[in-house]
Amino acid sequence: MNQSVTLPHIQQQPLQLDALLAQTERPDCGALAIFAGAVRNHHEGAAVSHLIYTAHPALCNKIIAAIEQETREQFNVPECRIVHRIGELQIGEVAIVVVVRAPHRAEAFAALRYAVDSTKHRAPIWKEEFYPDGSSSFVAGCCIADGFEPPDHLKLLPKKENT
Amino acid sequence: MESMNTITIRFWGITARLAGAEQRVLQLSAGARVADAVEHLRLDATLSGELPRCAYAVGDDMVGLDHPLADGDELSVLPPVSGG
Repeated sequence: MNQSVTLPHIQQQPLQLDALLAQTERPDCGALAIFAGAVRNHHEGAAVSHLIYTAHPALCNKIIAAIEQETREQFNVPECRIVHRIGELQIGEVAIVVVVRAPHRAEAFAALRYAVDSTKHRAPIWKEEFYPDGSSSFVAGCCIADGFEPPDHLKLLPKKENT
Repeated sequence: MESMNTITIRFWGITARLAGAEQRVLQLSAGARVADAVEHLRLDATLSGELPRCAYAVGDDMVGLDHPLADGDELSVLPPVSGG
C-alpha cells in the first residue's frame, strides 16, 4: 500500500522545504509563515519508536488541494502549499510542511493555522505508532463522517459577496 | 434472476486491521446503496463497532450513505483521520 506515491500533496520521499519556498516566492508578500510537523518520540506518556503514515492517495490529494484553495480565499493570501509525507518515518523526520505567503503577518499566521488544522482534521491520512516493544496502535483521530462537526475555527466563513 | 453488482470494499487505517484484509469483494443487488454495503459490513463483529465513526468514498469522491453503487465500484471505508 502507498508504495512510490508522488502526488503534489502526498509523497513517500522526504519533504523538501526549499522547493516549496522557491515555488511560492512572490514580490508582493512580506510575510512567510511555515509550519513543519516532525515525528515525536512520545505520545500520551508512551515512548514511540517510529510511525507509519498511510493515506488514500487520490482522495487525500484532492482534499488537500481544496484546503489550499479555501485557505487562499478565506484569508485572502496569495500562496498556500501543503505537503504530507506517507510511509515509515523515524523520530525527528518531517511529516507535514505548510507554507503560506501573504502581504502581512496577521493573515499569514491565521491562514497557516487554518491550513494545518484543516489538514489534520480532514485529510484521509492515518498514523500508526510503533512502540519500543514492537507493538503498535493507530492514533485516535478526527471523524470525517457526515454529522460530525469540525471545531469552530475550522468552519468556513460565509463567502463574501461582490459589491 | 436478480441482477447483482460487484463492489470492492477498500479498508483504510484501523479498519484494514479490524477486517483482517485491505479489501473485500461483495455481491450486492443492482440498485444497492452505500448503506446496503455498510449493513453487510456490520455482520462482521470485529468491524461493526468502528463503522459509526467511518466516512465513505467512491473513487476520489466522498459519498453519503444514500449514494447508489454501480457495478465495479470501489467503496473506501475511511475511519477517523490522524494526519499531521
